[in-house]
Amino acid sequence: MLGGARVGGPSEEPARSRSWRTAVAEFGTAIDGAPAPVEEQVALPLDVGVVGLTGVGKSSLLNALVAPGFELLPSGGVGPLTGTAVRIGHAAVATLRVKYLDRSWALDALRRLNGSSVGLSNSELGGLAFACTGDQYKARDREWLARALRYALHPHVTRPPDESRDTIEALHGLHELLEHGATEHRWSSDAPDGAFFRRVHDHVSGRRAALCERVEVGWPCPLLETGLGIVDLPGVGTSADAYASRAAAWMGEAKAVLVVTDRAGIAESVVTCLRRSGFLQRVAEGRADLIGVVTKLDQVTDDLRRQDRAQRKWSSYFRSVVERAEAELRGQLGEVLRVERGTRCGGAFTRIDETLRVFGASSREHQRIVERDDADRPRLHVAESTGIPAVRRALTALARLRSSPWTSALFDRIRAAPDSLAHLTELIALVDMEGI
Amino acid sequence: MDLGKLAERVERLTEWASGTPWSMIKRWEPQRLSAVAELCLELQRYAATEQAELAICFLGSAGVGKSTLINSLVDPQLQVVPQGGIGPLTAQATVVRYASEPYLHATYHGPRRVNQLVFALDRCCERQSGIARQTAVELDLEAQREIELVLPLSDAPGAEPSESTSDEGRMRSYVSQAKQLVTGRQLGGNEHPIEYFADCLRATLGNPARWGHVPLPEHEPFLAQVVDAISIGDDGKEWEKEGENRIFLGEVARHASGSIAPLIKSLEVGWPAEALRDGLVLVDLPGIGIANDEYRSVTSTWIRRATAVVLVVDRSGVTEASADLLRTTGFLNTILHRVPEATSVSPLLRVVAVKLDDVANAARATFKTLHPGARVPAWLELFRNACDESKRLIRNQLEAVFEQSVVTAPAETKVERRDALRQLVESLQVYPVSAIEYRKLHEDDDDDPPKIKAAEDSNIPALIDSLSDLAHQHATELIDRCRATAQRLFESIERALARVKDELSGDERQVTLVAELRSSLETVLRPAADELKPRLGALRERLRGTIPQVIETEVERSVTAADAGVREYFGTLQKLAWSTLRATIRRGGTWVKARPIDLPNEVALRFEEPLTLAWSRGVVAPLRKALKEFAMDIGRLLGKVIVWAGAQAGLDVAQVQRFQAEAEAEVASLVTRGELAAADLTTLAKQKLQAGIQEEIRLACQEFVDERLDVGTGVKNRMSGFLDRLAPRVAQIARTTAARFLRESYDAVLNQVVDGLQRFNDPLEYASTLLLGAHERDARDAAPRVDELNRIRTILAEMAAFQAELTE
Repeated sequence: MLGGARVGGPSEEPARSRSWRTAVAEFGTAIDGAPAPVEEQVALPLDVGVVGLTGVGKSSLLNALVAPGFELLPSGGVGPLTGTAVRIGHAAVATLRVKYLDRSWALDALRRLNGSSVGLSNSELGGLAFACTGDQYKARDREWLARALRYALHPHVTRPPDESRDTIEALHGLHELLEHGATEHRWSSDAPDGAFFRRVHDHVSGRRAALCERVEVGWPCPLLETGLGIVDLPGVGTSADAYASRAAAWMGEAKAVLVVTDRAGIAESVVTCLRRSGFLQRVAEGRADLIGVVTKLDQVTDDLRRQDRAQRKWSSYFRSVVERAEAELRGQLGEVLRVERGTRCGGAFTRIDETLRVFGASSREHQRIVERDDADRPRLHVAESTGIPAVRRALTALARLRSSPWTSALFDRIRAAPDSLAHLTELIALVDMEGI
Repeated sequence: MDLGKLAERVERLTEWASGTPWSMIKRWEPQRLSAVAELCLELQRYAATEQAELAICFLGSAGVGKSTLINSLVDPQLQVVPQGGIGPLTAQATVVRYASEPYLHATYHGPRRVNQLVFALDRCCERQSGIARQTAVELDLEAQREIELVLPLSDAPGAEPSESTSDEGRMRSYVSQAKQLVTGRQLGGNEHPIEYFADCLRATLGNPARWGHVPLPEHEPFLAQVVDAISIGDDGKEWEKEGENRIFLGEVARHASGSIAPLIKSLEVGWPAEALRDGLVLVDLPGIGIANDEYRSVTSTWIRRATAVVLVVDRSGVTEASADLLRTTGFLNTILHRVPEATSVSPLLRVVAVKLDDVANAARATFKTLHPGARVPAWLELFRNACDESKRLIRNQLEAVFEQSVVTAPAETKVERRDALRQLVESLQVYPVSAIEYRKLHEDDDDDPPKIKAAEDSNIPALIDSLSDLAHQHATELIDRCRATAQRLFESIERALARVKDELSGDERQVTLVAELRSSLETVLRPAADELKPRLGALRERLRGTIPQVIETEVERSVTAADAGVREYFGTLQKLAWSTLRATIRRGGTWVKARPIDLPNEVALRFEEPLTLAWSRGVVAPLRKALKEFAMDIGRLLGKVIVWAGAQAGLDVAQVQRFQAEAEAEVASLVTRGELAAADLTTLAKQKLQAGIQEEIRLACQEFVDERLDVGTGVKNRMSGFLDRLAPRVAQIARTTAARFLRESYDAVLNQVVDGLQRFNDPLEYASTLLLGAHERDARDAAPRVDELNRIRTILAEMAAFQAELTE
């Protein structure tokens, strides 16, 4: 299976000396005679969105992939944490770039609050409340919100919706942002310290999250060097949540998505989100890419081991859990895609399963390995076993294949061809070969 | 009082109520019967097992850890319900209830379900290969229609339509169920065509393959399980724990989430868990929110009828899927529109946030990143923070969820609703817990030490207490409700019977009164009767014995006296001229000349008088005396009765007085009537006597003439001799005749008297009949009604016993 294509390829030694581009070009020509483009490959940056239920561990996975040992993005806390789509891309030094909401946003919201135009959905109301008060569950009263927005726009000529200090303070903060929102704010740090991370957290999940139109984090990470951007999307599936619509909005344009699930499998609301944005259709048609990751498998392993009365090593149980989980998710995603293609049940498109790249992983075990904390010892000994490096390689491979029109076209051609499984395996192995 | 006792008592009560009280009310107050019937039914409903227990449904997203939570509540050391595997694990609602010995009880869908699957797979294959439909499967029309129209296989009529229950979704669900049954796994198995699964399932039904596939050896064990399950069907099968927990729990897992899961109709596990002792029943529902998950409808069916729901969430809080399910099943509305002052436990919502230990773990890492070098807060502190945050989050989320259902309310009630909502959210109980740490604490594994020191830190004990309290409260409510209903039943019966009782107690008073009168009368009557009886006997003795004897002697005496008179008369005749005498004899004793001679008459006259005297003196006088005495006795004794009756209220004394007078008069008149009768007889007797005497004399005279004794010499002497001989002859005739006729007369009188006395055979009894007869007749008529009244009394007494028992 492709998920298992971890290290190297069929031709080891010669490949190492050549760049993966050369290898792929040769491979492509050999396969279908398509001449490799002579000009220098233009790197096309690929953004991969991370989609999954709230709390499934998207940010944890992202941290493990990009910034092992750091809580670069807030993760594991209570409630929907990630408030906006956060793109992590490559940068020489840790960087945070933020574009805040501007007056046009406030004016539009006000117009819709007043009911003169399209009404606001429940989650949009939550977003407004969040922007005005810092709590998405507070103050869903439309009138209050409208007065708050008016005050934030013109604090000198209107009255605040209520006299509480918190409200006035929050709305003045909002006013400041709206006044200067058009410009992009940028912070960077050679040696990222607590203050940098706190700022990131504040913009991703803290009070400022609701005020950001765009948040980008730059991080020095080899995985991202190909131009790969990983976009942490707000989780879906939480009831009456203000953020979920932001994830759906981002999905509309997505070319690649990393679907994160836990042991239960792919959630209905995630499928709905992928389907509504047309993403599933694009995957089924071979115009977009999907990678699946099952996280939190350490917990399943704990249960299984206990059930089995710990007869074997933890790592041995973990391995079998990963295998099982990968098969299940592959099956589930396959079924979903088959439906999307309009395939009747059964055999004809079993290949969908095989070409799907699915990984079982444990961000937590990876973190333990990186941290080497005596109080919280890892149960696995090499990072490879946690499944995180494999996901990294898959991302790298995808980024590389999509980084030029020619490789991208080659990839799609091979994938669409019947009986191409062996070729596909080989191609990915070539791309993987210089993997991280 | 515990619920078991209550159920037993209620059962006895309703059984009792449908017995005598039922028939009694049916007879007397049929219009009240329906009320009693309803109350009985209501009681039975309350006492039914499923009512008595508080079934708490655990609802949550797939994989959130419902089963893990339930296990920590049931037995922190074991996994009683399967937990933590890959994919949606819990396929059917698993009911966990208390049992002193572990058991597993499962019922299965029959061949119809497998037939449905085969049918669906066939349709799928036919569609795929474009061949015409052949119904080779034995499936009734209704089932076919079900497949074609409704299609969700799990038993949930009216599952909300969504994308996943589209045609494709349903087909997928059938295929995945077939896969699970044949291969033991829901997914994978794609190397086999659908036709293979259809034929494998056909084989389990004993039908020939349609698509030409033969089950592979590795699938045989799974198919054997299917065959077993089908044959068990609705009868169900029960497993008891023998030996190791492992084997038993493996069997549980095989049913709850294993290969046989698609055929399970119901699944129940009994476990000796302390927390479940008080009638708490935990229902582990299939997780929701997973794509391609065919078990959603099972969950919504349960929630639809749930009385208490524990919503299990993780750190993200309430998921859309859970909220939707609560909303679409109407559970939210039920909770929201519940009367605020309602005391009943249900409907009820508790929220448990699990896996907050994860949050605490992550918080440590985050803290290290954000505050490098600073002292990391203690784990427990982080955990508690997470708990608090989680509570806040869940309240907010649920408020928003509820608010959505309020939005549709009419404007004028919105404010009220919002207030109700706020109250509801404020009173909402949220339990953030760590099942894992709780378990670790019980496991004592050195490799994986617990981070908490005391079980309380995990908040699981608080949750258990809260649920136990609920069960208690539920039980108390149920008992109260049962009591109230029983009270209403008692009142209903009592009201119905009270009227009857009133009606019947008049009769009873009557009966009692009559009985009292009777017994009082008896005290008067009995001695009187004792007195009267010998007197009547004496009277009889006299009438039948003494008086007839007197007749014999009196006749003898009279005849003797008459004989003397006759002889004297004959003496005077001998002084007459002999020719005169001869002429007289020749003429048969009578010769009427200057001085008439009438022998027969003269002789008869001489007999008549003493005999008349003998009659009046020897017969009539003693008879009169005896009867008079008897009449007096009767009168006197009746007088006593009259005196008694006069002292009683409401008795008709006059009648008895009349009777007394009548009796006295009657008895007295008997003699007169006897005399009258006898007078005729004595006249007759006289005639007979006369005729007899005349005849005898004439005969004697004739003989004398015939023998020619009247001629010749010595006529005079011969005539003297004739007269001497005639006297005894006449006496003899008179004697026999008189005796005979007197006896006849007496018998006639006696008959009259006896007849007359007949009425007075038992005058006292007659008097008592006069006094009480009518009353006693009434009382006799009322007797069955009085019995009825006594039955009512018994009912009321029994009812009081039940009442006491139920309020105990």
